[in-house]
Amino acid sequence: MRTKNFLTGVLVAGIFALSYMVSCKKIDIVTATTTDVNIYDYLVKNGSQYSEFAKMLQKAGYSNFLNAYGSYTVFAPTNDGVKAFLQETGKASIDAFSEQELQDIVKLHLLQDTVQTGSFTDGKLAQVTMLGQYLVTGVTNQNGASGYTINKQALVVQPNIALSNGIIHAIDHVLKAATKTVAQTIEANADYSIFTQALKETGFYDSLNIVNNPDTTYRFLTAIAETNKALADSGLSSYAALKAKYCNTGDPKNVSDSLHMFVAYHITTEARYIADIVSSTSIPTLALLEVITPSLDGQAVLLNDVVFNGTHERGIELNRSKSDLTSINGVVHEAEAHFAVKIRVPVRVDFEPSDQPELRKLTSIFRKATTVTAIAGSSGGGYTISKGFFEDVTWNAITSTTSTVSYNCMPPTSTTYYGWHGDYLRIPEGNTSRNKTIEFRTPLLVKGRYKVWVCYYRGRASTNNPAFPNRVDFDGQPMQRTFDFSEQKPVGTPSELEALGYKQYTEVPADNSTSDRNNVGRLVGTINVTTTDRHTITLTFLHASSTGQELNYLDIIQFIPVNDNQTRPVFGRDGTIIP
Amino acid sequence: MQLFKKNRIKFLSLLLVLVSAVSCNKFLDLKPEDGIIRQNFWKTKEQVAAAVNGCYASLLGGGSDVPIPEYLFLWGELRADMLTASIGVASNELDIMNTNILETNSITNWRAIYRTINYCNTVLDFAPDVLKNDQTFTRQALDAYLGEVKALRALLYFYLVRSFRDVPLVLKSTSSDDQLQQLTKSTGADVLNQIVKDLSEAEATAPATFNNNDFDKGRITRYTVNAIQADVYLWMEKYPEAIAACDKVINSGKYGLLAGNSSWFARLFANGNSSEGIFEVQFDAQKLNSFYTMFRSRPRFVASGLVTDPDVGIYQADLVDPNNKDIRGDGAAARFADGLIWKYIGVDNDNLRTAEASFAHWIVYRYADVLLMKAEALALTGKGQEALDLIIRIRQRANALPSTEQAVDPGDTEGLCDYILSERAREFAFEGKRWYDLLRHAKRNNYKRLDILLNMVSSTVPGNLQQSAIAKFKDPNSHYFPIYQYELQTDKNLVQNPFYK
Repeated sequence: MRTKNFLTGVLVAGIFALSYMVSCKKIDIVTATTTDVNIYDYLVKNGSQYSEFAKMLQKAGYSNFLNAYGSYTVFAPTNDGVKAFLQETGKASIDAFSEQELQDIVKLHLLQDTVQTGSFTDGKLAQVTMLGQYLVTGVTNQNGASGYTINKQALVVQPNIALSNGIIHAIDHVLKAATKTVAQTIEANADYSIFTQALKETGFYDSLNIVNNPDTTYRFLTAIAETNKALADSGLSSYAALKAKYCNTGDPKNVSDSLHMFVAYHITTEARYIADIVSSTSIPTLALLEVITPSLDGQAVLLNDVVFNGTHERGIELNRSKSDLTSINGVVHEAEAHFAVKIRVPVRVDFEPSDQPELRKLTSIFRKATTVTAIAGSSGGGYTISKGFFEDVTWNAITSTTSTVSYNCMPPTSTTYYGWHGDYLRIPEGNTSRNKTIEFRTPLLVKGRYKVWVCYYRGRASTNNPAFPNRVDFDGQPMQRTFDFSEQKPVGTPSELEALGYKQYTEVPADNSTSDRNNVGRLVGTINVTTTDRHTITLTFLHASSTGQELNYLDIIQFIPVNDNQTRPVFGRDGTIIP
Repeated sequence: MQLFKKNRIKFLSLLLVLVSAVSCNKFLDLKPEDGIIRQNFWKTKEQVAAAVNGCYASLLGGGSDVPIPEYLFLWGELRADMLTASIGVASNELDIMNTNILETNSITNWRAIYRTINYCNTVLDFAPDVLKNDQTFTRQALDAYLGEVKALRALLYFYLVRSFRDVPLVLKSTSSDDQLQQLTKSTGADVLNQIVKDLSEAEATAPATFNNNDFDKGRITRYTVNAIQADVYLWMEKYPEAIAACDKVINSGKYGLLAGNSSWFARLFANGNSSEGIFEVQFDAQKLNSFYTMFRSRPRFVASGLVTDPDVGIYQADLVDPNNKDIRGDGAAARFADGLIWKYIGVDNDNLRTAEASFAHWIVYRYADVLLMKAEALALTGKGQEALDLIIRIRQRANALPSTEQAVDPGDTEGLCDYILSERAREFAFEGKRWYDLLRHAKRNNYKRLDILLNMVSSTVPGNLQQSAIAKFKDPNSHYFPIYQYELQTDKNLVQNPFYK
């Protein structure tokens, strides 16, 4: 009885437990933090458009990582695009490709970063594809509607599809990787036959033909090719003529041979598309220490369009429609005319630090005389300039972030200041809120050796002020001698002065009497300019503890070739230059 | 029980209080207690006046949106060529300047404009009922109010149609939840037709004057309606109608050009409500504009080289006598020394406003605008000489320099239009008109002058975006903003501008 009761109890409990378990409603635990799909899932889900590409990913073995955590950008060709690609390559279906082939095709469509159309430019995307070739973006207008293009091969049909592990841009064609190196791209164009031969003779053909160069500096290269016509326009209608003109050692492979340099001057490191070229101020070339200076004039991309020694030299234009040719290891551009390293003789540059484009725009201030007492006033008078006003002049104080400089122009009646054009840049200097350093970008300097003179007006505010040494750095290298804004010229004949490193740089006063020894030219050293380019020159206040002084009037910084006359010409207050 | 008996009266009264509190009919009242509902409003003419004032006041900003004039400035200038980004610029602004506009760009959010449109619609729907309740409210007074808000609504739709082209046309107020509609877009042409209709109705009833100068400048008069009409007709390429509308303003005798002397800037821009002003959004010490923070404290924009450059800029400079200058340039449009946009932050040519005094009016229309709109319509209807005379009148007042003068043959329509376009740039710099001027001239005659926009954009965007920007501008759809993402998500009937897909 007892047992029976017990069994019944167990039975009842069992039935109860069973029914409870059966009727138990399974709790739906959400394990994902979002319902957004990943890239591969999205392609599968939208199979009507992307099933072919999804199949390519699957077969290439990439479907898994595109469905995992990460940040990718995928350029996904639509089914129509893939079909057109199959037709073009003569394959019946995706299955006709090997896994390796598919990987190579697909890798060009993948970036390991998220890139929205907002960061598309006229040039390459900042991130390289997994294949190791850059993609070029752009915009094209077809039948009145504009859209983004990729590699000039495909049109973006639906941009910026945001998914949880990246972005898809749908494109209407399969992208095709470049199959030629830079060297082969140039060789393939019959218009470049002379240039190609020059590449081969100088040995550059081989350096432009390396895929995945282990030396990463030269992994990507950019070449600017010249057409036969451009060369013919300059009287070089054959390779023989080119060689006759440039090859001075007889061996084009010699690095010091001019033909070698000519070709080297057309090659730069990195993949530089036109968009990259117009964004930089100077591009180093393989010709040692020779640079190309690009600029944009309207829509024209010009190389070496410079103002040199007062004259404008029109640059060489790049042919936009025939440039930006992507190669496996770089880019090829076409120049519309023949160009070579410009042989320039060093020429003197009288650089007025105050002659800046930003100041020139202020027509009511620039070189317009103010009151005669300005220079004696406690602040030196003039127009105060804040940081960031100039593009090519920067300055810094130790404690202040808002230190200033000022500009002023003295009238022709002044009996003290005789600087060129009557104007100066006043640079308060000290170890407090006044400036510690000021840096200028120079005008174009031709490579060569120069003596550097700092020409200033000595406007020492108080005889109590200590000596006021300034170090001058050229391209970050300290020069031999400091100069002192509070120092007058010594008395002496011009040649005595020059021997001591001083000179009279202004037109008047000529007598160099005691009161007029304040317009000072001071030799600070000799420099070796290694590249024909714009360089930097920096003044640094050296006194360790002085609060410094306000009244430092900088007029000219002269770069005079070492073999030129260092003391003449001199400069007039009305702007004249007197030989 | 003993306790109950003792305190029976107290218990009963307590019960009574309890019951009455529970049965209080306020308990079931759904009306809010901290505001007025529509059914209790719209009773007196004072309430109508307050509601109309509310429409104007909403232009000054409200909710989380920036003031409408800031939108009008951004929409009218960002895509044009007179601004350069400065340290405070926002990425959304930079994207528009670089022609990288996505539908996520909040500057393209039209919510603030539609809010004011809804206020106007509310007045149009409910103000007529007040006639029944307030015997002192006349039909004429009602029509005057309706004219004002109709014109205001038309003005706002005109901004929308120029900025977005196809927009939903909402003509009924949204005053309850069941009136929320999923609207579709109307075509730009339909929107323009509605604007024309609203304006002609408004013209018939809007008052010629409120007998108060500040009201005449800050509220919409019949002549404001005419000025808007002129602008709308120019946009629609209906030139005889534009001339007729301009003439109504000119012949009213109520407006004139201020003398171009040393007080010109202070009277026209700093103080506002001058005899040259036609319609100005009235900021004051109680309601400041946002321009001080935009242009002064941490400038988001400064004037571009097109404005300040002495050689290639629009004003140029007299290199011999720096005091001989176009009064509209240095110290008016901008301070050339540092490019600060001066029109809204200066009290005169030399001195800045303080932050607390940042209440320069936003001028929507002024007399010079009417003269130059007429010049444009004249030029396009073969009356070149009359157009030139008007241009010369504007230039003489401003002491425009001879170097900016263009020798144009009166028969050369395109030459005249280019001249008017550059004169308008000089006259209305930073008044939110430049982009619409460029687009109006470019789109004329089926985009015959698309080159205006292509040349403009090739110089304003950075070199590495130039070719893309030019190619984008070849698509007319790109000249109009995308519909903001939030609007697309909430109204499934809206279709994005195809350029933005």
